[in-house]
Amino acid sequence: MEALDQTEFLEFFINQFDDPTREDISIDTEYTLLKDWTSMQALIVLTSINENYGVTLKIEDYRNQRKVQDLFKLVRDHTGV
Amino acid sequence: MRLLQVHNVSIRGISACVPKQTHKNVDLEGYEPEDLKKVIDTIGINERRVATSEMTTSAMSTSAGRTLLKDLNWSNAEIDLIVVVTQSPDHVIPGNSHIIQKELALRKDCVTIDLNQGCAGFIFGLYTISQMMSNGDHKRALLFVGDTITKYINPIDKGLKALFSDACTCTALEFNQSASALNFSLGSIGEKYKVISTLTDENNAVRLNMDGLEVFNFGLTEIVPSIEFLLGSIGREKEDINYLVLHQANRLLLENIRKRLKMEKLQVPYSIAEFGNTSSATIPLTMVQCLSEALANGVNRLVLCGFGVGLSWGVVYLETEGVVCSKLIEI
Repeated sequence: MEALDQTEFLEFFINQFDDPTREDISIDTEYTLLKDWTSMQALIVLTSINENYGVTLKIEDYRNQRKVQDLFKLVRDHTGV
Repeated sequence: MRLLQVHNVSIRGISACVPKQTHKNVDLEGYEPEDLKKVIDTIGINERRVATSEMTTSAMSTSAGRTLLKDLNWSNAEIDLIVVVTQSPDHVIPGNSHIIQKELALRKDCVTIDLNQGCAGFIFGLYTISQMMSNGDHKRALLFVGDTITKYINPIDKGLKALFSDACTCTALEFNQSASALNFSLGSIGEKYKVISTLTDENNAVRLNMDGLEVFNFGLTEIVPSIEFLLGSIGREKEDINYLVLHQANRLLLENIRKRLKMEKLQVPYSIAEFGNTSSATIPLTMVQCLSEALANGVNRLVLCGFGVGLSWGVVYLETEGVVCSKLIEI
């Protein structure tokens, strides 16, 4: 199994939003402060992580993440690579 | 997980009753237009059926029961047992089973049972009623499952309002020694009981409260393994299944489960766009609305799966033949 790549994860993350060409999200972005980070968007990202990476996160862990990089590390820790 | 088998019971018919009053999600207030579109696209609910303040769960259930008895050509005097599953009974005391017994003029010695179960209620109810029938004590029985859950939704809670809808159903069962087994797997996580629960607000109104992320994650975690466990336990493959009927929670979760199980869209019918999440009623309502023709003809291998309040879940594998589905009742 290949190691989870940070750049690819960022691309995956941006693709979960309505406009996948947006440039205001980087690996350091605090995504929970984005105007369009809603409870519905949180469900969409959680579901996509499950489908794409085969990972089911603990909700308290998911809720505690702030930056894209934090979420990347959480998913990476669950995939074990 | 355990495999629980029940013998000697067949499903003979199903009916469903919904309120005529229809609310469209495009008319929901409190959303920016683009946010509302995203909500509707994600949950997959266009319309919901909402009971009027005078409309009761027992009235809708009775209507479903009366229609089904007529369509099956069964007499009310033949009913030995009813089990009623609801979380929105007409009264705290007594349970709806007594009201339905009166309205359908069932016999005095017809056994009446009430169960408080939520979105997995059809499966828990089916397990209970079939267990009670399997030794032949009860030859014909009716399982009533449904809610007027919108009465518990705070009118200003736009998130829950977009999801929930009302429906009541009736399923007729018969003692049948040549029936194939009903194969169940049931589970619950009591430590999460608060995740979907009611609270009493400052105006003394009972309001539904739900932690959406927790419920969603529960669905992602428990459902696929439970279905795979059940099929593995009885030596069945997913390809053997004619239809998988899932609790119609929301389309995002349903599609996740369908894709992970690698099942075709035609195998997994949805009624959610037209009827929303009708809590305990979604599985029989979907069978009536989407599968009535298929169920009437030939043998069908079905997996039915409910999940939600508790948090609890139930899965059943069963084979049906010649099930009568009444035309949808609107009152």
